[in-house]
Amino acid sequence: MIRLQDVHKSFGDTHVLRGVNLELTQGETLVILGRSGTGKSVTLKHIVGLMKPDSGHIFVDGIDVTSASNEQLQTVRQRVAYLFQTGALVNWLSVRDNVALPLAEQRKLSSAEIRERVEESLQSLSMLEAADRMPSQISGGMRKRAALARVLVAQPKAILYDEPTAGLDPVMARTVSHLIRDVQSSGDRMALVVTHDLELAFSVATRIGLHYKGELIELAPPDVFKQSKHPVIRAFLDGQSDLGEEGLNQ
Amino acid sequence: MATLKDTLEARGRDLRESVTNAGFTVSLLLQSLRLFFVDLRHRRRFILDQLAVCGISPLPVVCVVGLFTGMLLALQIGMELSRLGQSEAISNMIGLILFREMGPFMTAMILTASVGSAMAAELGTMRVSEEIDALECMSINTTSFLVMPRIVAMTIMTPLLTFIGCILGCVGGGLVANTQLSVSPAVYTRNLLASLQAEPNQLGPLPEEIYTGLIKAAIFGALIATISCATGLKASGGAIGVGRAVRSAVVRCFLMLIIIGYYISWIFFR
Ligand SMILES: Nc1ncnc2c1ncn2[C@@H]1O[C@H](COP(=O)(O)OP(=O)(O)O)[C@@H](O)[C@H]1O
Ligand SMILES: [Mg+2]
Repeated sequence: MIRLQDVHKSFGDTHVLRGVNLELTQGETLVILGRSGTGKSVTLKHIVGLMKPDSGHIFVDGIDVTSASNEQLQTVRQRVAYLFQTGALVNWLSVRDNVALPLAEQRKLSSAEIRERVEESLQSLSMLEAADRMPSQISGGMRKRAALARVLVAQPKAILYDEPTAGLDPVMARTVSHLIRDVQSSGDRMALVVTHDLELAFSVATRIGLHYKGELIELAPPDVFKQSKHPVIRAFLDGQSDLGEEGLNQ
Repeated sequence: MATLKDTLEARGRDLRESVTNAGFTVSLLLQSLRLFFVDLRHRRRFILDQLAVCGISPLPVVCVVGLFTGMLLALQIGMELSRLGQSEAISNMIGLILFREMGPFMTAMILTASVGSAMAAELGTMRVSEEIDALECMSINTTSFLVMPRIVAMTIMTPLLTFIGCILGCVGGGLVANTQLSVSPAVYTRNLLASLQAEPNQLGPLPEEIYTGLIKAAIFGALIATISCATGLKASGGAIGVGRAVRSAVVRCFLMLIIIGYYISWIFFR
């Protein structure tokens, strides 16, 4: 279980997170919508301890990430995987070696076992043909899938998806959102998806929230969220930019 | 008054940042040293890759610069010596200057510009494109994964390249001595070896004069890799940030090379 409790974070004068609260339980897929630059990635980075909050607490399976020891942080990072927006593959390793990386670095499995799990993971994302290419030689959509294979190979309990469809063409975006739905339905994993892609949001979410002015407003099942009367949510869903902009500048 | 206060505050911030950076660089070096013993077996492949990167790509430049430095030295020193009627002493001077000071320093400069800057750019790019964050999320020790192999490779390769550069420098000096000052190759070689306190025909361990230069070169290599990696890892702010990191890595390396180089010589030769 992942729980954020009144998390605040500022960078210099910009108060990015102003009391974020959320709770994510087994089997749930929570989608956080929001305009770019509102602090969605910052929220995700707090969960895996890449950033420390100014105040507030983050719990992953009862471990307080804000005061975790190195070993506890490793446990958290083994359970919670982060799919970066750009994929963040190591560009001097082939796709196959990138996918093998988390297992090879854990140094627990034999190389035969690692090879088997890597093949399996690449297979499930139909990336076997591209396995021996370098990250710079494959398309953006393939890089996303390779990164997802690298995340899945470590069999995490929760996955944080940072804008998984951003920068992809509509067809590839749909493929990726189907992939996410498959990954979610094939086990009782938790997922936190951050995006401004409404199609993705409504196709994978069990609950949806909107990140606005450093807080999560409304956190409800998709059909309830869709009917929300909140003016900012209405503006976001109807694609009116002016109200959101005004809200941001207030 | 307000401006004075602002300036002082800005200087204070700069100072604090420099101290933090220096601390980070030193801790990176110490961590790498520890990880070398812990992780050597797992990092063999990366170390070999880095040895190739650090050794092969700068080799042609080191050779050309070494050769011409020797020729230049021979030309300048030779003119003075021949005026004093001491042309034959030329190889005594060239050998010492090259192996003690010029060789390590010249090679370190070339490696800073070619390999160090590339290290800062690589790690800086990985930092700003979230690759380092991704490694940390997979519980991968970035010092062991990225920094240690680079420091090890540079510590091994810098003395080797220095040695090659110095040998070519001596050859270049010999060419000029022979053509411009008509010092015969036999005399040149004999004086050269004598000045380096080597027995003629010595095949065993290298003479002391050469060792000190090579130890110096090894320290320079470790210094360049550590500073470049530390600066790259601290990059922020996209492509501009990477550019800034590369520039400060090169400047910091040059400054530390000349300062630390002086103190190493002071310890060896005072
Ligand atoms: N490391 C950082 N240092 C300073 N400011 C940052 C940093 N990371 C993010 N920010 C700022 O925080 C805000 C939110 O960023 P982010 O979470 O990346 O937005 P998004 O919702 O698009 O993911 C932005 O204004 C960004 O400039
Ligand atoms: Mg983002």
